[in-house]
Amino acid sequence: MTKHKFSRRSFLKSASVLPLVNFTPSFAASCNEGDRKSLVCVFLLGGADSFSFVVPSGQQYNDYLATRGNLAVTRDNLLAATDSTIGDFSFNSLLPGLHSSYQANNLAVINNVGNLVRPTSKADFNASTQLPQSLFAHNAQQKLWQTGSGNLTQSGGWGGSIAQYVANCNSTSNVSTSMSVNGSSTWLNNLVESYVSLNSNASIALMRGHQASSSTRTVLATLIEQAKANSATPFAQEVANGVERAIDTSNSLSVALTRHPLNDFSASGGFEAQLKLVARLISAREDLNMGKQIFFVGLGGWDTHSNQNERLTPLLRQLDTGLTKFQTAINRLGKANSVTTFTASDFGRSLTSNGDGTDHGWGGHAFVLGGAVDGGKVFGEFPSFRAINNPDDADDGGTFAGRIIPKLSVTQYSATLASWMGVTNVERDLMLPNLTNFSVKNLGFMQS
Amino acid sequence: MVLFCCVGIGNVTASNNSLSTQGPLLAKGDLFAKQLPAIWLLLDDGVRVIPESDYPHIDVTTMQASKFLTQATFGPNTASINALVAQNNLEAWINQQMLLPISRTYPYVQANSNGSLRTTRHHIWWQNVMQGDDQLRQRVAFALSEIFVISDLDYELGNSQYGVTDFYDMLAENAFGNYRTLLEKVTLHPTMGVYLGMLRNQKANPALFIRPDENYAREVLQLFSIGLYELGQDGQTIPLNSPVDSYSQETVENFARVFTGWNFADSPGVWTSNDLTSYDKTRAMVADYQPAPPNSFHDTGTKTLLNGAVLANSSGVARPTESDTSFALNNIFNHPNVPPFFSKLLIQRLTTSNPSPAYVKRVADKFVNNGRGQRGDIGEVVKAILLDNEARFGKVINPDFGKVKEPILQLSQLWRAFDAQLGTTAQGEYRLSVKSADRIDEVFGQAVLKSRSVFNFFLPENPLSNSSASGLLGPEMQIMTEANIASIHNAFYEQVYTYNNQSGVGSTTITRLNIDDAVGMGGNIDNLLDYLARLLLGNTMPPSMREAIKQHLVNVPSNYDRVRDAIFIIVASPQFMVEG
Repeated sequence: MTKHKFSRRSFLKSASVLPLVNFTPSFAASCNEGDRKSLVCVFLLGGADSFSFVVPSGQQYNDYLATRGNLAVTRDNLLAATDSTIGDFSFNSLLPGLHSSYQANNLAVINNVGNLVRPTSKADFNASTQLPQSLFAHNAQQKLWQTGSGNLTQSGGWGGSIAQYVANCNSTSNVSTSMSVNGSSTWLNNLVESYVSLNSNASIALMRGHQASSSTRTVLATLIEQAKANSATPFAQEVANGVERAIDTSNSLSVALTRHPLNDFSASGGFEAQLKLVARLISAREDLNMGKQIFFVGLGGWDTHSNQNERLTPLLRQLDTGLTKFQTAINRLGKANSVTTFTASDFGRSLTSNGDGTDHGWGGHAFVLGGAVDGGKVFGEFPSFRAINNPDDADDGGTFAGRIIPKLSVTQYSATLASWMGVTNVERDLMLPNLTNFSVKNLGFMQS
Repeated sequence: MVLFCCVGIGNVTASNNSLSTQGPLLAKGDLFAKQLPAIWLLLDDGVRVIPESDYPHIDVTTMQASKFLTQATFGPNTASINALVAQNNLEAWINQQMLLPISRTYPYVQANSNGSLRTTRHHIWWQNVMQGDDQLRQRVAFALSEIFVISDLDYELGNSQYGVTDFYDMLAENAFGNYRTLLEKVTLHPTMGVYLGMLRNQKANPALFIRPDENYAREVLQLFSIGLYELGQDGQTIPLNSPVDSYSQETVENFARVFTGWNFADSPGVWTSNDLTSYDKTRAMVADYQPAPPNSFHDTGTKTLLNGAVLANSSGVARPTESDTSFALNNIFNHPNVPPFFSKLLIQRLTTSNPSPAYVKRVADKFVNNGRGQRGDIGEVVKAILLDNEARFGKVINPDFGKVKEPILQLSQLWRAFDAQLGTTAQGEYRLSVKSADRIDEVFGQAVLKSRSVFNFFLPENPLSNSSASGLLGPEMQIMTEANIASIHNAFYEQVYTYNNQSGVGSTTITRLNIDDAVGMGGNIDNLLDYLARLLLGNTMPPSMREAIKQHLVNVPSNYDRVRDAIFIIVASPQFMVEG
């Protein structure tokens, strides 16, 4: 097994024999009080049809209507918007809250972003020059989106890398820098700074057998230590680590969350429950002595191979109301400028239909939301929506496939967010090895 | 001359003196290479490998019985351990299990749900888990439901409870049948058709830019049969460190064209409706020739499938939809990846997360040929998995042996160990106090046929640790999250302290442990711990663990409190949450 690694929390545990009240929180040099920041990834699981989120105008819209056929967002279902560079475009009218945020300059649209190893043209695609691994397969593309390494064999994610580099801002906190409210997440995996996974469906309660008042506390602690010490049983060892993290997490969070109920955020459904839990943790950020927080939220059901029109409507509504309620809560907390939320998905979907649904594509659109966002702008261009001689199509040997080659890479998108979180350029280049292939390292959608 | 006999792996009766003269002689340096078969002898001149045909009989000790029943059932109890020790023949036990009548879920749901009520299928599933005699079949069916995944979290399937339970019963029926048959039944089941879009999938219509749906085509290859990379018979990629794709996007598109033209049995000619609620999801999909060829929705053009196999234009064939699908399923079935890919998935569900390549190969060989010249015999594969020496002797054979127990199997093990009884007003529902049976996933991270995607509750390649580079896989660890660990802990706490049959408090709807046997052991702590180790720890309680628990228990004055503490301490320990 691996050698013992210095762990922040185990250090804290040995230090906690000292009275903590005398332990003045002090950030490292890059962690000033004003630098407290929270980053929220909203992953749309299954490959969201983001070509239904926003649509272009003019001839491009006509191309889109013709190619998308019965799956197109029609003219009477659009909300008008403008960008100073690309001009007029529209939001789907099922996204009224996000449209309002755009109009209020609190939301930026990132067009046609996706997994890329390097800038990729149609000729590069046809020549199979340095393409992402296992294109069009769900879990592979989802993982590639999340790893940052551009390599499917790497288990770490770029959210976890950011956490690793900013964890010094949480040196007096007992809580992990990164937290998932949607189960396991490659995005948060990191060998140094491990994340914790919280359940928004259940209250975060103290573990009864481990409470100070429990008579079983000592013997249970002994059994955990025994399991941790026995490298011949790596499964029990890893579970013991998990139990210990669970104890730490429930101890520190159950108290803080009780103090931050956020009763004015009325959440309905699983997605809003996740966002509410994140909002409560952001509300408790200072109480938890955290300078930086990284969250993973998930909304599933986007793999709309069939019945897309029927399935997409409730999903878009959930996305819109959820994010709008969340941003309202953050604004009320007075933390708009220190919280940034962004969307991501496995891939964009095909422009072509399979009758009543769409297939796995490649590039797609994303939203970035928050007071620190350079909002009311669109970054990147809409792709061509033509079905004939489409220069952006990853086609099938000349036959139109409707899978759009991204113009912006996830690597650049990640780099921009990492820099906002306070990751240095050297660290950024380490966590995103393919960034060197792109001349633009920062897409500019965060205010500097 | 035998210098040191390494066959002494626990409980083997090495009475056969011919062992040392059989099999090839290898260099001693190969001793710990994982490619070695299960049993070998260390001789002064090298290592003698023992052919499988000469393996000694496995003596069914209490430890063997306890470990075996943890792998092959939803958890051992005193009666099942005693019976198996008395029978002293694991293969005979398996053979008997395979002949038992099937415990089904559909009839109960048909009688107790209107088709949209989602609770009843969980009730009958737990009844079968707790009371069904066909434990091995049910355990394998559950494993198959985590490979051939559908989920009623799906928008349409939530209202298709008859179809969802029919799918599960179909898995149980075919748990010891042939993989090719199972693959076809999975492919044509209307719930799978809805879940992965093969239902009403239509050929390309260039005028409308319509292309066939690639969903089922992709997942049947990636998840149900061959996986992403070319594999050797031992389950390792070829070449080892630079995997080669086993199919391309083009292959997926060709299979997508094959899987066109299928419809509900009761909706011929209907290809447009978005409301699927009223159709029968218990009858296999049928090839729909309305409108009549050449205008029907099946693509009869030439297709190129796996390994370059060409499926010729079928426009002149009588029933092209069926014949093309059959050709494609045969094409998949005969791909060399299927035996190691499927075998390894099933090994991971039943016995160990990181099987040695040699173990995978031994099982995959049985898939290729069941001994009677047949390929795809799942019953023989299951038998090979459970009777393999790596499964039986664990770490002695492979130091990486073991797994994290699936959370839901932790609960079934606790309940079965203590003959848990339905609450007196439970109306057929085995349940915890914190959540109803259909929402048990909110505590345990999983519930039958309720995963969030076709990728199951966890991925087979999930690393055991997010924070170490050991390279070990630990699929189940993906849902042993901090939140789930904490909520499971508190659920067990209530189950043991409040919901036992002697507590006299708590709701009458909640399942209760029967702790009479444990309490009946009076004050004998050693007997109590032996008993609990048999039921909960594969009869393997490390001495240090035993000592720590004893030290605690001697200070607990009341017998009842001592029993409750003892059970809870064990199920709250990391040692209970793993097996191996």
